[in-house]
Amino acid sequence: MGMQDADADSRVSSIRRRMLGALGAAGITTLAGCPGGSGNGTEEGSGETQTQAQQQTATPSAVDEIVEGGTLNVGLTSNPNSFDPPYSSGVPSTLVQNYFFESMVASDQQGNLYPWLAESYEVADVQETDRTEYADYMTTAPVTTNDDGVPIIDTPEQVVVQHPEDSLTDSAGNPVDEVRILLRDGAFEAATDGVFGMRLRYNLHEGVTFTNGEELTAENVVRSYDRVENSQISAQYFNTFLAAEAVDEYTVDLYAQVPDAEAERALPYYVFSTEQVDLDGGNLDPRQGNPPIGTGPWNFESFEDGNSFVVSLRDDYYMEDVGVENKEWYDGPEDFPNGPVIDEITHRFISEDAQRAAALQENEVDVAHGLTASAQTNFQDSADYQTKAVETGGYLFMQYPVQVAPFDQQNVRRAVNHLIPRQRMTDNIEEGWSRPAWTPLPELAYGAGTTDPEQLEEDLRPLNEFDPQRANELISNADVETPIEVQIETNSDNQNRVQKVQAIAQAMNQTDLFDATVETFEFGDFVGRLLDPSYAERGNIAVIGLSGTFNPGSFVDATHDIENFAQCCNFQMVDFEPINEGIDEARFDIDVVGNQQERASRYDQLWRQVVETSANSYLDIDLTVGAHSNDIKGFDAYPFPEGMYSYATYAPQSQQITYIDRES
Amino acid sequence: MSLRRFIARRLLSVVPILVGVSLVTFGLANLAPGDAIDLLVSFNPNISPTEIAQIKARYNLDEPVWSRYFIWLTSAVQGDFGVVISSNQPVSNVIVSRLPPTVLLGFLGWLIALVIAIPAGIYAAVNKDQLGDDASRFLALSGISIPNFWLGLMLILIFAVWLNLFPVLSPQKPLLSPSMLWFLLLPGVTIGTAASATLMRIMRSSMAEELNKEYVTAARAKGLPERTVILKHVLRNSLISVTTVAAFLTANILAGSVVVETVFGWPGLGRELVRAVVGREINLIMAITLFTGLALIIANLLADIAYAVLDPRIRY
Repeated sequence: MGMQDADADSRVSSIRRRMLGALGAAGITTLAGCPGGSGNGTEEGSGETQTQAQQQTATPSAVDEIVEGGTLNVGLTSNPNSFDPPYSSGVPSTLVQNYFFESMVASDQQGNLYPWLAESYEVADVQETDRTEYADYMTTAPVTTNDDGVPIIDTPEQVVVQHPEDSLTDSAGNPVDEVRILLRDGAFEAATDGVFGMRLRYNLHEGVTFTNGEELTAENVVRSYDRVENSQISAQYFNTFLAAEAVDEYTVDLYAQVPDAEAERALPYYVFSTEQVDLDGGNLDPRQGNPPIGTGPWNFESFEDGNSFVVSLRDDYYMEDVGVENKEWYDGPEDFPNGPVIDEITHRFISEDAQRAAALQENEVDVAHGLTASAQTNFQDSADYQTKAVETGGYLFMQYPVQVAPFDQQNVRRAVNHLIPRQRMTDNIEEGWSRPAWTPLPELAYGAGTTDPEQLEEDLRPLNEFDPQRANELISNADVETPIEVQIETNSDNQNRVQKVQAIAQAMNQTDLFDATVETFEFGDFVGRLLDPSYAERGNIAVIGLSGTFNPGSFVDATHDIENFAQCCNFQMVDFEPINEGIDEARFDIDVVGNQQERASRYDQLWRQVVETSANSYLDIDLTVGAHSNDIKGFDAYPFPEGMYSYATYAPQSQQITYIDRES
Repeated sequence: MSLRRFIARRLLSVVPILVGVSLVTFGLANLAPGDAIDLLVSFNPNISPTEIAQIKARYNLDEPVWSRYFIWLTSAVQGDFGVVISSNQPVSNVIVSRLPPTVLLGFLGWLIALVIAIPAGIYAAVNKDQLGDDASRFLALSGISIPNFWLGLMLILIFAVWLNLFPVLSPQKPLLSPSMLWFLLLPGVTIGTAASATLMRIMRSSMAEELNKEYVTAARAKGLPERTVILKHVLRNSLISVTTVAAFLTANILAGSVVVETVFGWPGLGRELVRAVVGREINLIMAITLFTGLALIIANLLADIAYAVLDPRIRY
């Protein structure tokens, strides 16, 4: 999760698209296929029907109609940076990694978990533990400062836990001499001594093999976490992961630091082969002579950097032996295939959106995603193509300078919030390919995120509606002189985003309350600007995308937790104690572990606090959209683009399978 | 000065020029806020400053700028241009894999520019102030004015999408295969159009000037066929200025490849440079910039040599 990482190619493509938009937009529209398809309404009103109409998902394929074989041609947006999962978690990289690497659990479109490489798993122990209890297993490390004067722990080793009572600075703000830290050896010792928050036990399927013929054992699972150490995703895992222990050849225990309602999803990771687990960071990559070896259903065939990537179906995928109908959770037809049915998938890296759309139109690729809203609408309207869309975990948000007057006043922030034309933005700019964020919670996180989605929207939507009258009242009740001058900033390489920001500024300026200007920056510059600690003192409103996960907390933690200040995505020193506490209590509390109803009800309270506090405004929630030719059957979109094709080609937990029928 | 000494002197000047280019590029690239690691980890909440520092230290990004430059320079003179941080690939591998497509595209663009410019320039000069000359001026102005990203997209739209004469994507074939060369025609035309327009105008004015000289009148008075006068006598003399300009246009073609490779999805150095800039991959930016600088120096040197060959009066 994190800032929506429009990869480099996509950002380049956006730059081109913007320039083209000024000079020859007609060309792009026609490139996409057929004419028409733009919502031109100018009134703030109900675009509900249009938005819902765009969300199309596939119905499960009839098993007896499935055709085996063929080559699926996919148009990808970008070249992967790395095939090595801990060393690139960007969308283009994760998308290719997902063909090869599997985890002990798999997820459906709603985020429900199913044992996958594990035959079964259970939460074996949950105990009230806090991180101070690891003190006996800790060592000390000196504290120094980096170039920016920020205190850091001076150790090359992976810090699993920093003692909660040890601050890196003293009361005067100077770095302390040393702090207590828990390293991986100490963490393992603590876990096996019984000091942990949770223990989950996984029983692996026997006979699962990697593509190099090695059999999967518990040792592979345990050692796979070594690759995460000091990698780009280490913070994400060692936020909750404590240790892994092989109980026997096919049984593994994973330990969490504290009781964690997300542990079942957060602890398991990809499993690596013995041959590749010790490779240096980033070296698990065909460009380094190490093509990926995984347990997944696909063999690596070829990779031409910047051009193409090919996988072929392996004939010894473990599900063939297990039989999907023997999976406890499976409730589909008996003869559902035990693996993908497509022989080969060829991917072309096509960074230019217009070229990708043209390639789909000319049948040079069968399926593509990441198209412009107008191209998606054109394909949707065409009889020769289909679009599949599902709400994703990504949204656009704006963060207010809560430390700077007058935005340190809640009423001022709420007034701006009432001047955001959410419906108009989704109808006119996204052509219905997004949904107004009436609540801060995307649909995919409804499960544990709310007890009643409809009620939540009913409660929160009035606080987020476009309502200049209410904005006027709120400003009247604030201690402020009008018009309030403010600069709204965003990245320039996302044309739709810039248009949305301009629409907000326009709506603000149509009142006498604000004098808003828009400033845009190239993405890299903008990120650098946002991550500078001084940004919080500048008094500007920042607008950027955020991508969360199935974890409801991911949509509030990044933007509110003070520990994420000057990181993604707390740029304005947002720090509201009740919200910080609420975030922790909805996840790291023994009472919510295994009690989804209790957890959801805590989140219900949290969303209300978040919207009322209005440190951030949530603008709209994206859809992940795939467009494909009619030769492709059964294809469906996945909430996160990185899982799109691995999910679409085979996901028996949703009875999801894609096949090719070029005869029809 | 003999031509050999001239070449030796020019080659020696390459070193300070490249060092200067590297200094300016490194300095400018470091003026932008953030670095490759900032971009990579910016998507990852919960990462601590300690963890960021650990990752940066791995790539020497924790060193001051001057120190990083000398680390880079020391490695570069030994042929090690470092790694691309986001993919952990040696920069040299990227250059080696991306160079042939760019060279082929650039050569094709150059060839197309010459094939269009020389006959059109001759025709315009011979038919000076007539309809053909006006038409060529109009085409030349259009060629210079049309942005090549727009032209590229229009060519895809017309010739690939509407007329189905070309594939939208490059075929999965060897670089010099007929189908690949066919695909490259559209990007080649796109990249060569502006260059051909400039060359055509130079060719036209140079030729027109030569046509007014006495030796042309003498040749015609001798009864030489007009075709011989134009192609054998006037053309050779006109090519001197064209050659000089053509060398400078190499820079335009290299710059154009950045855009054209992106529009056509061509996996060359230009597209890689854009990705490097966006991703703050300084090692890659440095290597591609230096390589481009070297290519330009060589192109200019070749132009100077060609200049001497075409005009025997010239001595260095």
